[in-house]
Amino acid sequence: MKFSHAWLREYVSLDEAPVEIGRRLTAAGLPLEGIAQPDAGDPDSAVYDFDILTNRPDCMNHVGLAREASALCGRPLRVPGPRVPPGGKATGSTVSITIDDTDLCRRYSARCLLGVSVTESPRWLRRRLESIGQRLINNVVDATNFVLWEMGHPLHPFDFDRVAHHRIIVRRARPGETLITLDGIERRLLPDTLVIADGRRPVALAGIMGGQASEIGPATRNVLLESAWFDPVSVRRTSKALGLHTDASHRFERGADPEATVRALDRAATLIAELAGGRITDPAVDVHPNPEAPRRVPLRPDRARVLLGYDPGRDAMRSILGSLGFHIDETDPARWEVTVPSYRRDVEREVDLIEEVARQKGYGAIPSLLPLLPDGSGGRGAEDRLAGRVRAALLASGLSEAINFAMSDREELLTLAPDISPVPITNPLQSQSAFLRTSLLPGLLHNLAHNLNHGGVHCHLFEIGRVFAPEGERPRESDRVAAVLAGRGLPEHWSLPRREVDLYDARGCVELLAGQLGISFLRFSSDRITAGAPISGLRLMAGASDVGVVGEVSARVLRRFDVDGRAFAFEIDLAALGAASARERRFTSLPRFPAVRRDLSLLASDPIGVPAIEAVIRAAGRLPIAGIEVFDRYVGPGVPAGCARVAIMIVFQHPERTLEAAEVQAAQEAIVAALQERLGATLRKDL
Amino acid sequence: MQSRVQDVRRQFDRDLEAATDPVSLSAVRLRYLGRKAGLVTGLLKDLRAVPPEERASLGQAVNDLKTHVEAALKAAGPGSREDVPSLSALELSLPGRAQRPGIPHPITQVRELIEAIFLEMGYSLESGPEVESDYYNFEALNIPPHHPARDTQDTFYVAGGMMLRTHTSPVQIRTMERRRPPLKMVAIGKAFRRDSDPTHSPVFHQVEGLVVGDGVAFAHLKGTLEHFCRRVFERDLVIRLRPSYFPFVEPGAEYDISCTFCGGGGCRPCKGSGWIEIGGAGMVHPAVFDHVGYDAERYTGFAFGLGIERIAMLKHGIDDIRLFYENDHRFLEQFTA
Repeated sequence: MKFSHAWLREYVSLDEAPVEIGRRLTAAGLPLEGIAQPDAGDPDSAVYDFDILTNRPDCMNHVGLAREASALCGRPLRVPGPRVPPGGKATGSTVSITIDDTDLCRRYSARCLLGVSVTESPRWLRRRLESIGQRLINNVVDATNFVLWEMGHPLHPFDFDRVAHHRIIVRRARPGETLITLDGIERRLLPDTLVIADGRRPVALAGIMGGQASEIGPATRNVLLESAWFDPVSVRRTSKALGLHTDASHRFERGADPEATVRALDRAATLIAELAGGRITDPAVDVHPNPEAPRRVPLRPDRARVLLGYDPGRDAMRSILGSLGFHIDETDPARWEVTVPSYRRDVEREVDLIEEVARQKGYGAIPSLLPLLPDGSGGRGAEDRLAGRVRAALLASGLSEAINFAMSDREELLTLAPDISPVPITNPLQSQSAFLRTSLLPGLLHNLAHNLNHGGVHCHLFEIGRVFAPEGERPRESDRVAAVLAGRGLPEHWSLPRREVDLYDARGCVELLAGQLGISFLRFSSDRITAGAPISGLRLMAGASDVGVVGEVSARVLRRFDVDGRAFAFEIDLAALGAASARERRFTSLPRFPAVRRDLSLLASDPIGVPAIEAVIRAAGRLPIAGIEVFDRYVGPGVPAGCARVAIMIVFQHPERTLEAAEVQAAQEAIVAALQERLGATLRKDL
Repeated sequence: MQSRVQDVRRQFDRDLEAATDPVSLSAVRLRYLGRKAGLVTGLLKDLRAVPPEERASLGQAVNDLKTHVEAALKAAGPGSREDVPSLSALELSLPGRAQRPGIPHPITQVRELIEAIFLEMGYSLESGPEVESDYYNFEALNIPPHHPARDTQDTFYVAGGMMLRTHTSPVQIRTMERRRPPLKMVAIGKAFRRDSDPTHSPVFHQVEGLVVGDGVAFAHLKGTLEHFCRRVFERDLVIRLRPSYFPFVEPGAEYDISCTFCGGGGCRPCKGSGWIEIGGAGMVHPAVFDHVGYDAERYTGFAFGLGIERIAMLKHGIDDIRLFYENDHRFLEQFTA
């Protein structure tokens, strides 16, 4: 918001350079965004750009900002006091004003100016308004704009002869009513819109914009000047609904000063009479059915010390509040009674008064301490710890971490998670992110495409993040971990042959993850993935429940993401992993007796089904088995079709004695016989 | 036959000792384990002719021999000690071999740094849903419907009046509802605003801090922020608080640090001001305490917030926030932990 240095100096003496004024106001909570000074030698040419926050509509004008500067610099504020020459025609006999909806319009003040001549504004006024970037219209409109930027109260002038029956009614719009606003757009008025109507129809959107029909133009002879107070919520609603934001609506929706209407009206009326001639009707009409009593807020000076952590001192509090227009009653020295000026609608409580003191003194005066406060609960939650362990395991397996948006494209989500209808965002920024994600994979597949399209030879990424499923009024949120692997396999080294990633890379990550989390009953089940699934491979089971999937991304899905080649992926529910994860690790005594290793080379039907082989071996083994490992698999020339050659290592180990060679041999033979009988696997004799 | 087994074993040990290069090693392998004429293979075949009562012990002996032969050949083969070339035969300037770990996302790295700082000060880490109700995201934070402050938080809505949280501040409310003072908490997570340019992402990460107890004052907020900023940026910087407005705090502030690039003299990143904006903070507004049923007379508290992306951008000199969400390996690999 733009402010002129010269204009501010009308109301307070400012000897400091504009940069210094900007610095002081910034330190008091009125942040300076920039200063332009076209004439380097003339401080009066300086124009400030302040970011006036929503709670300070009282500073959105030169007098308001000058008040802050006067308090900061300790110099008096000079507020213009207009004098309307008495004795003209009575306003009340000229115009009739009624407020139908007093809930939305608390006060309406008006005067007429009869016999004006609408022309260009004089040079001084043009310069004032142009310096802060305001458009010039004509002397009448410019005068109301000047008052807006001088004392902050928005006014509206009507061409009085276009106000039917010389009647003003402030009321809600009726069904079907429309209004062509000053910008030439015909507006359909919603039932709750507050309008200013004349004897026939709406002539203005209350507090936002006037109507074209009663616009001030060169032919205007008589002016009706409105100065009113409109309800912030009502103005804001209408302004939002119509997409119409104006200098007036900006102030009304933040809270204008109901006590300022007549003062602003008189200021504008005298200015117009001066610039455009005309007689001011007098006295003003002032419809103000329920005046508000001034707000009184208690202030315990000691509370300031408690809240701020230092004592600003009673003298400072007294002088700061006084110079900002607050009145203090110190009858009870421990509990002051502070009367809040009507333009400070943001000050409602004791803390607000304490903030006034703190910001005017400057936050630099506040000491710097550390709280000594115990927090019994402390530390990280279980979910956080789990995510950390999952992240560490996947980083260790060579995957890097990705973070993607929680929103995604509907079709992409349905491609990866066909069974869940994603929750839509009602006002998305773009269609690619218009639905809450039901899977982490679309984001990771986009990352894959991005990497490959930018010359990457591989992509090894995982993400830990939240997915959303529709459920009642609030979507159900759950955390997942997912990864996508493609391109060259890891590790890469000049001494190693290059290879492409395959299913075992993805599966290996999951196994390592399960191992790190101490999960013993995560099972890989290959029998539940239907043909044509987006990820074909293995289901991950914890007990009887599905917790995720690991496999190859289907060619159909990859085409959708513009990825050439092959890609492998997994996605697992984090809560399920957490539930399956070991709470604590139990120590097992180290074996005291030697292990005996036996290798078997089998010809078995393919696929072999490692869990089935292990189950048969354990059942038939007779002796305690410490480990079973398939350490080779061969399919190709020399092996009959439909079969595979499989090498299995079995480690026998007894906790209480050394095993005899003969009993190991017998156990091995029993195992071979069982494998033959149960699985049709035969011992290879041709080694 | 037992003696034949002994003979073959002795013979093998001699042959293996004589074989010093890969070619002769493979000849030894063929001589003993060859499919047709291998000596150990022959013993295994001959086992079939042995009477059943001897077969068990003899079989064991032959099996042990086979294990011995295989293990010895393996030990002598490539990769074994004898096979490692001497230093003089190596190209020492070639890179070494290692299992390289992946890289945590830079946002995670900053997040973990911030978590560690607050955990050390005894804070608890809290969290909440990403889809929030109007009550938690706005109303309980003293931002009633039609409050102009809602303008600055362009909100994504989902059906049923729910929204994607525009800040992590709702976690304050959820935590205060669950617990009584004294409490010190930090919540870190995603937040969402309809805004997209080089410094604003529609999805970003926020840190929310809250301390409530007896006698918690603005001075404690200042000290906490100062300690935190010094730890995050690993330097002895100066902090500045400026009055500002957030409906859920009063007094409210924005806080800046002395520019980490120029030290306060003024440069491009700080736009010549010598200060860099970090976040917002203030004393918890009594209306917020009213919403969660805390006695605003007895307890006071402070709250603060900041964006993780902004910290990461400042720490690493990243100029476009969108880079965080492309997950380009060339970007990530610059942040090896």
